[in-house]
Amino acid sequence: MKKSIIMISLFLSAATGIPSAFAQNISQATVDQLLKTKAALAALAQTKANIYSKDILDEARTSITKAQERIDAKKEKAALESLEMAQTLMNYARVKSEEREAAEKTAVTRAKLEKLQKNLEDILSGKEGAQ
Amino acid sequence: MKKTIIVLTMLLMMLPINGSVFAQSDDLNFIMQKAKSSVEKILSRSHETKPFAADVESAQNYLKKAEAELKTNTNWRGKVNEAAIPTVKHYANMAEVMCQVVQSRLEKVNQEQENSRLEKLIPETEAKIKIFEAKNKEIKLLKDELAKPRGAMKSISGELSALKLEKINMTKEVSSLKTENANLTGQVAALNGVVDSLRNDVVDKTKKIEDLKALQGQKGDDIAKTRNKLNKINSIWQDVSKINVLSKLNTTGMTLIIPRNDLIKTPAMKMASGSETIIGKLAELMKKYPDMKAQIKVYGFGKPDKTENTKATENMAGILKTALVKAGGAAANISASGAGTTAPLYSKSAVEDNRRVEITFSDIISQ
Repeated sequence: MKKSIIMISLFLSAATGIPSAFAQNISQATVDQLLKTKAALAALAQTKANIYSKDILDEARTSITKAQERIDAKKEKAALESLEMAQTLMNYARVKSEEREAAEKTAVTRAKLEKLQKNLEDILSGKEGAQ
Repeated sequence: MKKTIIVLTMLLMMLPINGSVFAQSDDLNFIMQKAKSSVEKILSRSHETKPFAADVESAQNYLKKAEAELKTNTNWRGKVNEAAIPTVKHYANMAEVMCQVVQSRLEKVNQEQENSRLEKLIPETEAKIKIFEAKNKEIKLLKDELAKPRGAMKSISGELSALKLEKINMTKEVSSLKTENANLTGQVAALNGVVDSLRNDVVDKTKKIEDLKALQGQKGDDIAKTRNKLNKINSIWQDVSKINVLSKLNTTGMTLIIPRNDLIKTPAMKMASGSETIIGKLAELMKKYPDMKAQIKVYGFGKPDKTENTKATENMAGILKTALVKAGGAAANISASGAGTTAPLYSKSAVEDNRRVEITFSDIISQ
């Protein structure tokens, strides 16, 4: 019976895992990277990216939070992965912001052109006051 | 029995764990599949993604890492090590995000190109608009110009009507004036006729006046001439009276009747004594009036014929002419003839009275 209890206990331990058993100390570099990433996110939030890519910045923010949680949980590797993801998302946010800004600019240009083309069509069709 | 209970309990405990592992495996497969698909997608656009080669490579590397991690942590039964799943997912997600970055960059380039294209079209369109606006303005101006004459036409039409009316009135007036002019022309023609007639009259009258003046002048001359002639005749008459012979005036001149015996002795046919005085006076008279012509005509009477006939009287007339020329009378102005006994002045008993010499002076008045 005792043997059965010990085996079950061992099995359960193996099945669920004991994270604390694998917990390690977080390096200062990782902590610094977290801080830098947070600062970079804060700075990025002051740019147009906060307007054009707020959704992506939110994702990056979530990743940073996750990294923070993982650091707190002493899961450095996972924390680094979250930070890497956060930084990549921030880069993506910048790129997406530029893309959306370009798209918006294009939309403005297109609207301007369409207005002019409509004006031209009106002039060509002889509409009164089409000037 | 106990062994059976233990095995069942272990199986029961394993079941939920395996379900979770299968669910995680499906999720992982999905994530991996999605990442692979995204990477393939950007690789298929390699010609466009050249400028972002680093990002593409990064995506590829993350995918490779995910695949490597997956492969490393998958056992011979295909089971993935649970602990490795988050890392695999992380790499797959990283590959996915990098693909999105690349796609975003591509999209940005596309947008910029599109914007550039559209921006190029704007000035072209604006230029077209400008051209058509200018044309429209021109058309508007032309329309206005076209509209103007219509307005002007109305006023011109009114003016035209007024002018037509005026023309009709003027035509009537002109017609009336023409008639009046024709009447006046007739009157003028009549007046011209009268004027011409009067002018002719004036010309005639003037001519008559001039004729009268000429006549008056001529008459004056004639009167003067006549007066001169009368004075001359009077002078001659006085000179003749001084000769103490019978004399008479006739239409052609003055005739002196001198007894023949006072001038010629017959039958001797010589100049009588004392005849020189009469001949001298006659010669003086002819010299005084040199234009005067003298016709000497000797008359005989009775018998004897040799002293009284025509021939004898002609001889006597010649003798007298010679004597008169000798005394100073111009021969050219003196003619001489004998009348014989053909023209006695007195009765037969007055023989000596009928024997006479008549000297007729002519061209006295005509001078």
